[in-house]
Amino acid sequence: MPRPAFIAGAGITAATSPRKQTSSATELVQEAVWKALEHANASADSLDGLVIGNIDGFEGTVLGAKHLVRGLGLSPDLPVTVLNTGGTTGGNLMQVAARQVRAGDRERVLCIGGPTFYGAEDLQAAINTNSPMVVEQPLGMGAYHMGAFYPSAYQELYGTTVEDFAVSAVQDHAHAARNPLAHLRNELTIEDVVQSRPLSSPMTMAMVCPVSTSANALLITSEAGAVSTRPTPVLIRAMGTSSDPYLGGGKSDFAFMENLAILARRVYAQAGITDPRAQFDVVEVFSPYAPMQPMQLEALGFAAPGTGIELIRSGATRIDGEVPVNLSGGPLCTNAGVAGELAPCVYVALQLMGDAPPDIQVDGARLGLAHGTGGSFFQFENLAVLERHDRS
Amino acid sequence: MTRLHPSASGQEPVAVLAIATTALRDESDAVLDELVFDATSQALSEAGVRKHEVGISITASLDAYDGRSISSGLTNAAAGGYLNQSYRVEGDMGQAIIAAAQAIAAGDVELALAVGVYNPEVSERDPQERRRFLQQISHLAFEPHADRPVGLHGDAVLAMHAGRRLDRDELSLADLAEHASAEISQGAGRPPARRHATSAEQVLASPLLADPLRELMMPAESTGAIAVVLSSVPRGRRAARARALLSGWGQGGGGTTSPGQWLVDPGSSTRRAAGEAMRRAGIEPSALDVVELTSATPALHGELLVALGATHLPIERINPSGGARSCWPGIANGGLRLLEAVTWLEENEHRGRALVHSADLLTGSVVDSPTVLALEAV
Repeated sequence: MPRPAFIAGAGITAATSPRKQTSSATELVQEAVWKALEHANASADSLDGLVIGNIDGFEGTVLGAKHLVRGLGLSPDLPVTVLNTGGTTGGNLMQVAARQVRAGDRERVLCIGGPTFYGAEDLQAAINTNSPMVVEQPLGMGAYHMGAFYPSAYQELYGTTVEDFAVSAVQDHAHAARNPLAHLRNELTIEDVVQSRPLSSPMTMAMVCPVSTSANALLITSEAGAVSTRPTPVLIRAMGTSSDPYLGGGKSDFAFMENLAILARRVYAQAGITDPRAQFDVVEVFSPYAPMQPMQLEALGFAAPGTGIELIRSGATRIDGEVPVNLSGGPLCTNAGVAGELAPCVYVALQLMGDAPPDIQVDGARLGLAHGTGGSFFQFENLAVLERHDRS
Repeated sequence: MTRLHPSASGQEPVAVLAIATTALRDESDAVLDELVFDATSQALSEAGVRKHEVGISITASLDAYDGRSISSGLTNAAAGGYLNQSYRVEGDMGQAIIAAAQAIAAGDVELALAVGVYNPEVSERDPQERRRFLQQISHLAFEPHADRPVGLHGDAVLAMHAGRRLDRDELSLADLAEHASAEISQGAGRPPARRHATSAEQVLASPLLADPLRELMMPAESTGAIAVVLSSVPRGRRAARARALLSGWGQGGGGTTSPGQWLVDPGSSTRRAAGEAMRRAGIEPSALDVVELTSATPALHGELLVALGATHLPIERINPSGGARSCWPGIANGGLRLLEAVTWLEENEHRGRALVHSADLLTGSVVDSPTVLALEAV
């Protein structure tokens, strides 16, 4: 019969830009892996599987994870599963590892999120190669151009201003300023955000994520595999993914994230979530562009359509609010590719274990939501409901 | 009703309801999502399953072959992923089949799809140019500091392994040619075969690829897509048809170039995968009736056979399809090997057990990720 899967340890490195990074990709990942094992109080030889991701074209090596994973000092014959789903790769690592455990095949699987953006000189050009070939590629569209479709449609529907969209950027930076592991830790004002360089209307530079380098790792175990681990384990209570077509025209309305809303309904039903705003203690959403965050919060049921910005403005999503969101600073302040996508799961797990960096720790957090998105026009979504599992 | 009755020895087997392939050609004149849609829709139709019943779809493909980043973004909806659970593994399709089986065994879904697609973005008009393109992709998948500066690619790795066995008098060049000739001739005439019956002399006369390996000693490359529909056993019992039971599965992992395992013991990763698969299936190697394995060269064949525990099988039950030297659809190979083994079980009056071995050959036997599937006839 299927078994539950738990997060039993997490490791994460401090982030910085590729230019200022003094560690190699292998060294960074090694640091994250050994931190996760140390956090879990688990030995490397207790592992029986590895799940790692890469995004070809964004990196200097084809299927780079295959070699990277063998340079970490772990057992050389561990089975490795390599994933690549673009911006959802990181979150999917945890789901695949959890299924390996829940299927009874593995007891302790390490998910590894590496610093994807070491090799690409022009990331938007690399991203352009995944966009549709008839119109978007010849136009030179990159990720933030696709990301701008959402706030443009939202503006059209609700009359939202650039100042309104700046709200989540200001809050994410305020949160990142308290997180010693974040890349951009400068605080911003609404005016700073609005006045920064226009990138793709209505988004300005300050609404767009940085290119970061960091790494992280999560240890996923069976119940038996978590018996001797140190932190309070976190139960993966529910999880899932959902996908749109890759053509932007496949979405009926960019002002509403229907694919995410459909996924949330499915995952919440598995987890028994009936009132997300009241039930979740901590939330990390993958919003690399600031205007996406209020829209994601609407699709996730934290706010009614058109009121996501008001939710953030009300203070409800701050550390002392009703439902703290992106206390890590989110991808807007640290986006290290696959590591950036695994980060929501890592930070939520640390929060529920009580092991988050002290200035962002939510006291008594028991239930959390971790989200990821990516692909052409952000066609892929993933979600996981995580729950603190006190030992009896 | 299929009346599936799995043996009691296994742990949570999964039913194989359908396997469908596109035409496997030297070069497919269709774009990736067309190929994926073709295979997926055929497999669903064969299984009598509607798309919305599928709980998860897992694709195996590789961006570098597909000529675009995040290529699964293009193929995902065609693989049944629209508003559904899905993801993509970068590796051989055996990995996707195992991931789909695990989603069922985990209790998350009743029906799962695994799809593999391979159609490299290069024309076959100049075979040498095509080979160089594939070798360049392979080269870029090697470790950048030590391996790439000496020009490594998968063919070179495989040739070094074969050369070592010849130097040590463990095999002769004639042995390699005879093995290749026997497999090619065994598969010739079957639907997916890419090569005609051939003699050992013809193998030796084929173009030298990387000394001592000749072109006809290598896998017979083809392109296309393959889709497999899996279900839980209870759901499979309500299906119109089931083709086999997937009673066990296992994964292995090989080391980098420096420890040298790829040279001296290239079967070790397969040994691990086979052990896992047979433990899950609750069987010993002696219970096997047939094995379908992917040996990239004849020099690897014997070591892989030992690793799979299948040395006791008569020669006609080892790669009865002709194996990869008869047809090798790249990343989708795991699906074809499964289809060949299932077909053999069906032709064997629906009796017996099979072991299916596959791996992507991107970096030869270096950092390989073999998979092994254990099958039971229904």
